[in-house]
Amino acid sequence: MKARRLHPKLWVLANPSSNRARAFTSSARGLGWHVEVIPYADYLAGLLGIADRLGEGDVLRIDSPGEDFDVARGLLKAGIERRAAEGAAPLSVAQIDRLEYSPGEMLRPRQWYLGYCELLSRLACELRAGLPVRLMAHPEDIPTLFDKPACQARWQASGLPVPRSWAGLSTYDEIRDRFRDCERRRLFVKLAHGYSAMGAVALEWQGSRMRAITATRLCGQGDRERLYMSNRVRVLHDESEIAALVDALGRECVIVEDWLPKARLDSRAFDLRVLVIAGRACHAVGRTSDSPFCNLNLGGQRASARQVQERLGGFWPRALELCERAAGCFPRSFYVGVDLLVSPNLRSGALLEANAFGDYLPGLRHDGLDVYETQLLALSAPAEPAPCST
Amino acid sequence: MFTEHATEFGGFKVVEFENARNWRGPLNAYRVHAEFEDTDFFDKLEALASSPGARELAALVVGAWDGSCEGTASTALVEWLVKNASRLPQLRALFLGDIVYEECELSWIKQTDMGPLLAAFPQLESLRVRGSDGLAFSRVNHAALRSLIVESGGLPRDVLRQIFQCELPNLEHFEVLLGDPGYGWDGDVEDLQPLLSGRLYPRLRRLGLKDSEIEDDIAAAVVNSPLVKRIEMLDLSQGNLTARGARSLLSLPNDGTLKRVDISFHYVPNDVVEELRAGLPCELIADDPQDPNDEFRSILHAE
Repeated sequence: MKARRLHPKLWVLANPSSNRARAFTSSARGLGWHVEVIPYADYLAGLLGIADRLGEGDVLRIDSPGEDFDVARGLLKAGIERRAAEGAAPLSVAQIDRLEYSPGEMLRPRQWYLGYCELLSRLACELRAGLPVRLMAHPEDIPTLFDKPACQARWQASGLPVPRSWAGLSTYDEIRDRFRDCERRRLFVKLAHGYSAMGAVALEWQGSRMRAITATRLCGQGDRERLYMSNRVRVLHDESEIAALVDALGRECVIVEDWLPKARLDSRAFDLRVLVIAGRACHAVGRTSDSPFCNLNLGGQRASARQVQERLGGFWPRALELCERAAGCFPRSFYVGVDLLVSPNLRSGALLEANAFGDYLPGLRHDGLDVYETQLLALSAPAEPAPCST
Repeated sequence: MFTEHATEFGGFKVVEFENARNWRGPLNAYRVHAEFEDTDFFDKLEALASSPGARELAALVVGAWDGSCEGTASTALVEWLVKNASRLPQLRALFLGDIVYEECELSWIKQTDMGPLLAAFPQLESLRVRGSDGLAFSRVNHAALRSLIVESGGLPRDVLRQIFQCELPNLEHFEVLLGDPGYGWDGDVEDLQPLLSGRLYPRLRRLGLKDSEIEDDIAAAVVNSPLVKRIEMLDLSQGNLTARGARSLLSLPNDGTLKRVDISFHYVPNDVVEELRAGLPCELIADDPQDPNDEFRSILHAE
């Protein structure tokens, strides 16, 4: 049996060339940590185990598997069985092997998600059988964090405010029929497993007219149908075009929720991203926008925590508290990025989503430290290593 | 798409007015709007008009009024303004409909007859209106109005005709977005003849015929018109102007009256822009060039 290390090592499961992995390992090494990166590609291929390399008290950081097309392929393959079990026709191994990288393409998000869950489940098993280590993101939490309906359900069950949502709607016709006779005229359809407004469509009906605001595009038809994420928000008016887009998203699992109005900062709508680390709200950034999407990659602009704090006034502490409680629903995860919407009257909020890898906030400082420094210093604080299973 | 609210209006900085605590004296342009499901929009207007010094308020911006984003026309808003005109005797600049696309689709904004409004505010110098559905300018005879701006994604020719029947002896600045047939524009360049003939608005000096899908035809009609002889600023931006329209502008009068031409957001190739810049005796603004080979050549606001 390996003895507990005097100086714990920090293991990072990531794509080594990704911006996140490089930024994190550089910060960690700068603070004196001994860091080793375990490439997702190797882990997926079964070339490396994890648990048998970790020493007691070591730290494992699971980072995003994005920014690597081969890994994406590997995850799609890992998701074949689970996707087929759902009654859908997954991309086969042969089809996956023939795939070519196309920038912005959203490739089978549901199959990808199921494949990632498969990997995480394998990892969780391994860790359960191994020595106690400290985890920065828990492999049993990540699937829920990546699943909007499940995450919101957990929050709602804890009494936390979330936008109202409607289950069981997965086609445009179902959605339109459900709301045909209602006053409700604004809805958000989002991929269950998306992030950064990927696959998000804001729908609005007014009498016989409708529109959809989105940066997601559908190209091709039938077998050749592909979903793309662009960086430009457009307004669609043609109902059949909108229906085709919504249907394509619905096939990959969506959440249908209320399109809530947001408070404004200097006349722009904004939401708040708060990074909760070890239970405490740390880095916070406002994201302002002139579209229904506040994501920075869609033209959202950062507003400092101080600007947001000034704007929210008395609601600021409550906003942070909501985010801490939201992260608290995932107590085994060392950090969670929480997105919060504040109502225009600044008196209430709604939790929009949680991000398992929502700590990639370059340049953002809190108490003088960037996100990684804050995490790493919190890790260094003396603590018993928590076993990974509950 | 209109994506930003006005930050300045009537020469004043725009200040959001939610309640009396936001009042900072009459030397600001206050902005009042209703949030989704807000029930106190008219209370806000009341509070504004009751503020100490409101009698000196010069500029007012109304954003999304109560129900505006759900199909409610500006009728009740205009009625309130007309009824309370005596409480705002110094109001010189009014913007009805400072609404961005995220709040409401441009062509879904419903307006009303501006005739009674103008009659109730005889001292008004500047009116800016966004939204053309239901818009009217009936029986307008207004001596003080100097600036009129009408914005939409498609202006019905009927409304244009009504505007041209308005008696506006002191109008110096007229700007209209003509728009796209898909969104209400059902006219052609002939409908601009009453204006281009020079018979109307004797003091008109700044003209904007913008956001048009017949921008080339408009350019050609303008250069030969009696009106253009007295125009100092000409704005043909936001439409689908091509090389043809740009070249026709070379025939603009060069006696020094015209000071500036703006064709921003256009489909004119760079070399033709430079040809125009060299050939015009005045300043040319040609920002935001679009792809001349774009077969769709959509105008800026067509929604």
